[in-house]
Amino acid sequence: MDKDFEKDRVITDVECKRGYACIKLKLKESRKEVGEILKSLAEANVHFTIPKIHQNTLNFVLPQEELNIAIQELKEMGYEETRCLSGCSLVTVYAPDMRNLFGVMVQILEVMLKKGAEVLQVGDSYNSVSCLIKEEKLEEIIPSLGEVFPQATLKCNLR
Amino acid sequence: MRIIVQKFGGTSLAEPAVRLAAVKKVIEAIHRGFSPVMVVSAMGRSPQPYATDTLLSLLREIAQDVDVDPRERDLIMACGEIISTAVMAQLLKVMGIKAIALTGAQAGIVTTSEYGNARILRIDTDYIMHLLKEGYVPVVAGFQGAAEPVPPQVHGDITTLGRGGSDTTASALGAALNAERVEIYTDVDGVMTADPQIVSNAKVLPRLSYEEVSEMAHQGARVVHPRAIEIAMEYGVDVWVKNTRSDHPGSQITSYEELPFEEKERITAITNLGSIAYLHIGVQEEDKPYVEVEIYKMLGRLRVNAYLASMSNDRITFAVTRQNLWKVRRLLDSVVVPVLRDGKPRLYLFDTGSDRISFLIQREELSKLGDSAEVEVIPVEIMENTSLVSVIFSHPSLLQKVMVRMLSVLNEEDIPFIQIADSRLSASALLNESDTARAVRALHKEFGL
Repeated sequence: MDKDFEKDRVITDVECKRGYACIKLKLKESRKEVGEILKSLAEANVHFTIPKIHQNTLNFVLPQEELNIAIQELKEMGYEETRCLSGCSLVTVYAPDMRNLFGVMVQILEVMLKKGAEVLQVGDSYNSVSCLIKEEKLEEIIPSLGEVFPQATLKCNLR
Repeated sequence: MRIIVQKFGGTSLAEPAVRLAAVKKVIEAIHRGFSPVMVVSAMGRSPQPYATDTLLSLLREIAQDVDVDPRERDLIMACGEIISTAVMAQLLKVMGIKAIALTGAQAGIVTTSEYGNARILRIDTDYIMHLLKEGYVPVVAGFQGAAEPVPPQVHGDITTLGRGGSDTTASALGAALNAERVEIYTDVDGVMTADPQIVSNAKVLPRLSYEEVSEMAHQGARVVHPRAIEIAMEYGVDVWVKNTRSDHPGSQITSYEELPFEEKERITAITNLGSIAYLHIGVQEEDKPYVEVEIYKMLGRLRVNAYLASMSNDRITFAVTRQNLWKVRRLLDSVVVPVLRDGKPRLYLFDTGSDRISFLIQREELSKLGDSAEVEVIPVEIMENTSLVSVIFSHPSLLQKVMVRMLSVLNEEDIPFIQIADSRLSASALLNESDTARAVRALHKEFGL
């Protein structure tokens, strides 16, 4: 019996999701605050993702429709100086075993650089790399990613 | 015919007593009405005589400074499993069971020709099916196959499948033979809620989804290899992880849909992935995208995977395995990345602090360029001893709550975290390696596992 047992170790899908925003805020004293901040957001039903800490700042991505709730929560916690960016899209490339594929990140970053799309945040897992970019760049980025990863299925609605 | 594939790893074959226990598992399967196919790894681990690394050292010892040809390396690496097949087939025969030893190629496993990391293309099952119908137990060498012959070759070269190869053989054979189940025998009772060497009361999970076990494996749990799970998931083969030395029912790995209601949204396990080095490289904000691309390009060429990547305005941050750190150090040390800024080159010179002489020479050389180029010395900060502790869960909707509880426990325990990360089925924190055991134990308790 013949079956295609193991898929090629390549990028299999490129997916884009519109309607995201990101928030960057300065921590008051220490990283211990991160737990409290995320707790308040979770209790307010904010679906944060890709949280990252850089020195004394916390960044995270969230659905745009939850941005106002998040800002309100943060204000109530005394985080007045939050920087928000709305109108973003999350572009994710998938492979069954990303950690045994080399050079995927640079292929993505090169496309972004060439098209002038700033990568606002990046998240990775064993089977995906996600980049947050401004939504207006999506139409340029997706076809280019399609060229760089020719075996991938593009799951994007470019309108 | 009810076919079962039973795979026995190196620790399940290392000594006569445990080999006998393995054979008993095959006999029990026959008594349960199954037609078993046995898949075996090499016996024991280095320095035991037939372990893969021991066999490989026979070639390496000939001349340390001469690389071993990948073709011959695969040939010798495949011998350990072949020895196991003959030993186990003989043992089965002594116990009164009709058995036959097969290399991967004889079992019909056809692979790509990437020595050391071949992929299974197909399995010609006619011969194994014939043997099963004749009442034999085929004992198949795991971790190997053969590439298609390239004329004038009559037989293709022997290839090995790379990490997790025997699990992959078992899973692929299970799919090809439409087996009722694949059983992976090891030295623990099943997939555990944490590393039992850290958490003494870690429990065996009776059931897990393919996705949960994949996540666990990638986040550091030593369970079934993800490649094997990928195949099982694709073809809907149920996999069981069991202990060769006990009668514990083990863990069933199946589709998410098959999980009972109460397990569809649950915290599954705590994992830890050690030996991680975390790097920070500061660059000027305006040049960051260019420098970043150059760094990732170099890492890609070195076949070093960077993960836990993070973006900030003026820092490039990523993790590599400590095993790869020397390569990264050698790569970055004194390397110069040029960026053209307003028609004038800006040269970034990296300093990892590990090769002062090269760095000083390089800086001296660059200083001769005078005003024609701007030289920026970039210290690379390296945290060498970090580990990733993760909470694994069964449904993505749990992410936010799990992340919050995980951070709360770390705060209560006064365990500082360096970075946090999420994926579809896990929330993770990068910690100092010395805090790992304490964090795993505290999280295991908090989540009631």
